This record gives sequence, structure tokens and C-alpha cells, in this order.
Amino acid sequence: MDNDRIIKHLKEICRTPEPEEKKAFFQGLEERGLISRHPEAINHGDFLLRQFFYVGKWIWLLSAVLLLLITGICYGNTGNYPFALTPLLAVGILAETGRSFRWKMAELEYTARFSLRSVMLARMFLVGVVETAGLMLVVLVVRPWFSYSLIRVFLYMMVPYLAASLSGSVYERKTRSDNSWGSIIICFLSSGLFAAAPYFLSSLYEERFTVIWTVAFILLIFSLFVSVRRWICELEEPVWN
Amino acid sequence: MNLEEQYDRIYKYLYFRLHDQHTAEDLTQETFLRFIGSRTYQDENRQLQYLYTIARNLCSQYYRDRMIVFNFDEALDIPQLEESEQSLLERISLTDALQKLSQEEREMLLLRYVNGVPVPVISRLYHISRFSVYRRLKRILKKVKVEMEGENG
Repeated sequence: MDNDRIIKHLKEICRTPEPEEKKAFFQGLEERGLISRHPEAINHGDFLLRQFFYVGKWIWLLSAVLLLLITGICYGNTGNYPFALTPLLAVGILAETGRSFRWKMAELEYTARFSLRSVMLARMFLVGVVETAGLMLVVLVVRPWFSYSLIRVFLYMMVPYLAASLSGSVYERKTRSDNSWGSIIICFLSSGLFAAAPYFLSSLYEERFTVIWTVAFILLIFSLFVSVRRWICELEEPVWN
Repeated sequence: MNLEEQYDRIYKYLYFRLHDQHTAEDLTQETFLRFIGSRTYQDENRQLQYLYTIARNLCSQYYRDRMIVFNFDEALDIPQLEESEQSLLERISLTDALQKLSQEEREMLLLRYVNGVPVPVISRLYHISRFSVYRRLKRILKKVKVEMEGENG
């Protein structure tokens, strides 16, 4: 018999009769002012939905405009330039993530119902997911206008976006800046770099480089995960210390 | 930490040490009253550990006062569910195997696998390293398995 089966049996064996006085006990504690009943717990879905409405409207607007712009430029068939625009999308996620520090709200949010860590992760997740989904959609729409395969268009779109997100997140974590200019400049620099790259390496978008793009994509995903994890860990140190 | 959720777990823990619903519930409430009443228990990272420490101390006090010898066999419930004969036999042999474990070993199994207490908390409760907890749990499960296989032939 395997361990899982033993544990399953153990749980079943260890069933207890329901406690009879639990409700009255907690009610008594509350009446005596010894505890304050926590607000109703909410599930992850509701929590994310609530945070969705707190994300700045301009971020959704900027993302939508940029995605439309990328699609439009792809339609206009202007070479590989549309790919260099995706780093600008990272402005949204970086601005939203650093908002608590920018508006000096971090201390307050540490003491609020939801931890700053949960709030930042939720907003980062929401903006990241929406922007990535938007980019995926753009990839599917614009793919017929390129001679590249679907996976290559995906990589050309995602790698610049992830590179800007990574460098921006490292910058935000190190500086905890009180304005967004640093992140915005980083995104524009990344965009410029990817726009200029084909002039220095003309074969960059050739098929033989696909492996390198793939490796870069995997490395960026991994580094971004590490960077965000560090950022979140650092948040646990109360800012007033 | 959600106190109401922990109430059920502390109650379960005490029930299996006392095998008396009302005593278990009384001591659970006493545990919570002491926990809430003491400011030293409010350290966010140690709350769970303090809860179990209070419960364990109260339980030991209860035993000492009454000179009770705990019979683990009585505490275990073999539910009469609609189940296969094999499953029922497995549970019976598990109950027998558990009886052959020491009090501490049974307690560790209960804490980790029934009450879902995190390993770092268990390690602080027993004043041993996390690796020791992992090792001991592995060893206990192996012991249970060997006992069960021995019984089933």
C-alpha cells in the first residue's frame, strides 16, 4: 500500500464528532470584545475581480491603443518594426505594480484587509494576463500578414515585451522610485533597441535564429519569475522599519 | 490565522488525545481563551505553534490531574461506510499499526497529515529541525506500512 492510501485511511479514521459549542463560544468572545469577527472570506476569483476595478483605467486604454497600433502597423506591412513596439506595453504593468510606493500608500496597504503582497501580485497578474492575452490575439490576427510561422511571430512579439518587463521590474525593485519615468524610459529604450537591432544584426529575424529566440524567451520567463519573487519577498519587510 | 478554522483542528487534536467530546471541547475553548488572553501569543509567525503548545500542555495537565492512561484504540473510529472489504480491512490493520506507534509518533502523523500543520510549525513544536521532521514522518509511515503488510501477510 502506498503512503497516499495510508494517509487517506488515516484521515478517514480520524473523523471526530462535530464540536457542539463552537458557534456559541465565538459569539461569546465577540460579545466580550475579545475578538473581532473577520470579514467574510472571499475566494480568489472575487478578489481578482475586485482588484480588476482598481487597476488604472489609463492602463487598459494604453494597452488597447498599443495593441491596435501594433495590429495596424502589421497590416501596413512595415517589416519587423511592430515587434519593437511591444516593450511599450510593459509600461502598464510596471506602473501599476509600483503604484503603492509611488503614491506613498504602501504603509497603509500593509495594514489593510488584504496584504500589499496579495494586492500587488493580483494586479500584476491581471495586467500581465490581459496584456499577454491581447498579444496572443494580435499574433493570431497578424500572422497571415507575415511570412513567419505562428511560433516565430509569437516569439518576436513576446521576447521584447518580456525583456522590457524584466528590466523594468529590476529597476522598480531596486529603486522603489516615486515616479514612473524610470520605467517608461526603460520601456522606450527596449523598444528602440529592438527597432535598431536588425541594423546591427540583419539576420536576427531569420529562421536559424529561432532557437536563440526560444532560449531567450525561456530565460526571460524564468528571470522574470525570480525577479517578481524577490520583489514580493522584499515587500514582507515592513517599510516603516 | 483564521481562529474558527483552527478551532476545529485543535478540537480534533485534543479529541484524539482525550477521546471525550466534551472534555476535548472544553480544553479547546480553554486553549483559545489562553491564546487570546496572552499578548505574547500574538506574534504572527508563531500563532499556530502557540495554539498547539497550549493545547498540548493543557492535555498533559489533564492527564496528570486524573492519572489517565490513554487508549488510542478507543479514540479511533472505524466508520461503517459502504466500502469494499479490502478497504475496511486496511483501515483495521492501520488502526492496529497505529497502536504500535509511540504517542509522539501518532501525534506527529495526526498533526501533519490530518490537521495539515506545516512542517516548520511541527519542527518548532518538537524542537527539532525541519529535516528531522521529514525524516521522522517518512520513517513513521514506513513503520506503519511494514506493520500493515505484516498483518495482512
